[in-house]
Amino acid sequence: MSLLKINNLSVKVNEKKIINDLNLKINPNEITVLFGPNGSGKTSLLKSIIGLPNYKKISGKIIFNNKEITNKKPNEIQKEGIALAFQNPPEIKGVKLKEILKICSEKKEFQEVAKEFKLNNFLERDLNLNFSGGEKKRAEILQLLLMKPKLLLIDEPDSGVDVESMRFLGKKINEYVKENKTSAIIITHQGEILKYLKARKGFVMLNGRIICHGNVKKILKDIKKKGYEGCVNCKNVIKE
Amino acid sequence: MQECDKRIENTLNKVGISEKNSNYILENEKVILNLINEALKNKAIIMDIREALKKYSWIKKYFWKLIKKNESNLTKKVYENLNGGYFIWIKKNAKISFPINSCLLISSDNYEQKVHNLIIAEEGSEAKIITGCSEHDYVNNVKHIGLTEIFLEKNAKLNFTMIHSWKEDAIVRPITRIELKENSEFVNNYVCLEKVKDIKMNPIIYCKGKNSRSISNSIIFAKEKSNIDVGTTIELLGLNSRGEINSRVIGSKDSKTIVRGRLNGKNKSKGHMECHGIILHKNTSIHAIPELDAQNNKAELSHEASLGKINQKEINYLMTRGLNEKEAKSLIIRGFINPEFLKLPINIEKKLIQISQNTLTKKLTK
Repeated sequence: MSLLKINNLSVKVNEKKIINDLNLKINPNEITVLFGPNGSGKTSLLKSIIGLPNYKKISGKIIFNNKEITNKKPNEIQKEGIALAFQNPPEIKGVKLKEILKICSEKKEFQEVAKEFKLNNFLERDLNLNFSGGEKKRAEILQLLLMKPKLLLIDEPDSGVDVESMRFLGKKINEYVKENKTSAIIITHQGEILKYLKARKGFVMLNGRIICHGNVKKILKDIKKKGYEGCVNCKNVIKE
Repeated sequence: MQECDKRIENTLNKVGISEKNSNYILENEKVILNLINEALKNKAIIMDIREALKKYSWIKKYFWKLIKKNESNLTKKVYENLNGGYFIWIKKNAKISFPINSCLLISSDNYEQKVHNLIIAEEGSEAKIITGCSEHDYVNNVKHIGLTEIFLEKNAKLNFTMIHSWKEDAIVRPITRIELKENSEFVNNYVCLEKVKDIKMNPIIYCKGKNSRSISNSIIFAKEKSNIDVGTTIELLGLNSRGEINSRVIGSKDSKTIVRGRLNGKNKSKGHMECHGIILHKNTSIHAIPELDAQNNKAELSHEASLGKINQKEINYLMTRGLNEKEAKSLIIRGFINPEFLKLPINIEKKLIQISQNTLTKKLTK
């Protein structure tokens, strides 16, 4: 049984179709990686799953844990157990990191884990304001894990992060998924983060569709060798 | 003279001051409280300006120095018929940690209150002053003309906060001028969170001394049908002087707000201005007029302004963290007018937070 099932989903943003009749299944207890060139719809897919209102679903269904969530609001979807770590989270003036962590953890203890994420000195700071790229990523992943989701959506955890931070974040995501028997969808360009977490399945997106799936290592190897051009010309493209 | 009735206590509460911590209260033209408490003893003098002018003849060289008697009909009115005002004298090297609180109240219908305040912060002194201006709830059609002249001597530091709490009948015309000597530091805070018929003011801060610096912050919640035109001008006259202007405005139902800011770089100096506004409803306007005027090639001036509805990206983001739309908007507004940077007393900070929540009990239009 799949944890997440997406059937024939099409999504528009500002009258432009960005997800095109997409089908996807995510199994419980596994990390899935989403590849694809810029503009292929990876981020849009994650934002559509979490229910952002400007991502208008024109057809199709999203089923999570046997429940349809297609037209639910982001906060309702979060309560169902899906959480998203943004690639470019907004800066919110006057709202402190501490307040957000309190919301994410539902007022449970977060001080210790914030220390572990090296964010204990950032608690009184405005959310993401003057944070470095690495600090923003750490804050995103910390929030994500505090929400205790059943499905983690992680948008480029390895962009703009140094090796040490990446190792730490990879380890943390891996631990969480293993301990809680949850699933994750991760977007990565270079695949750097994959050195630190155990992902088996990979998908390639192109023009708002999934065109290929298979072993992560193999896909990554092919992409590194031939680029996404290779995917376009690949004979194994899924025909739908 | 030190007994305040319930009526006055209620009005003081509106500006976040209590009778217990007040040092000067003027009701119409009558001084109803004047107290030099333990914290101020030997460090500062606060008394009515009419009394001070008789007692300390030396202050005459400061009085009417920055504001000219005949510069407008308003100043002429105050000169011809003075109803009072405070004189605050912070003595040399005095360090006062508790804020000095004063309050100017109006308690009669159709009353036009004309006050003239004078503050002298002597060399090396450090203090915080809070002035609340308000009217009793049952009073109608009032006008407040408030002149304030502030002088900071060498190395003095002063944090001056003006809190207005009027009603839809009040016309308010404050005129404030500040002069800064060498190495002095002035923080000017203006808070207006309640309805008002019409406010017009534009304090001018003269950073005259070398290395003098000033920050001017405004938090304005323009409520139903309020007409608000406020600004700050900082004249960067001294070598290496610095100026900063920050304004946060929330415009709600049918209010009109003009936020002005002007930095004049006349010497080697630095200035920065920021104005941000959130418009909550239709038929509401916020007009930001930031002006930079550099008259010296070593003056560096910059500004940043943004006006609009609440950022949808921020709402979406907070919703992915589990908040519903209303809670997300409330948190953003609370953050937007977060008064922490003003370093105000806790009760006023709490009041600001409460207001953002009250507003959000009403439906917010897109």
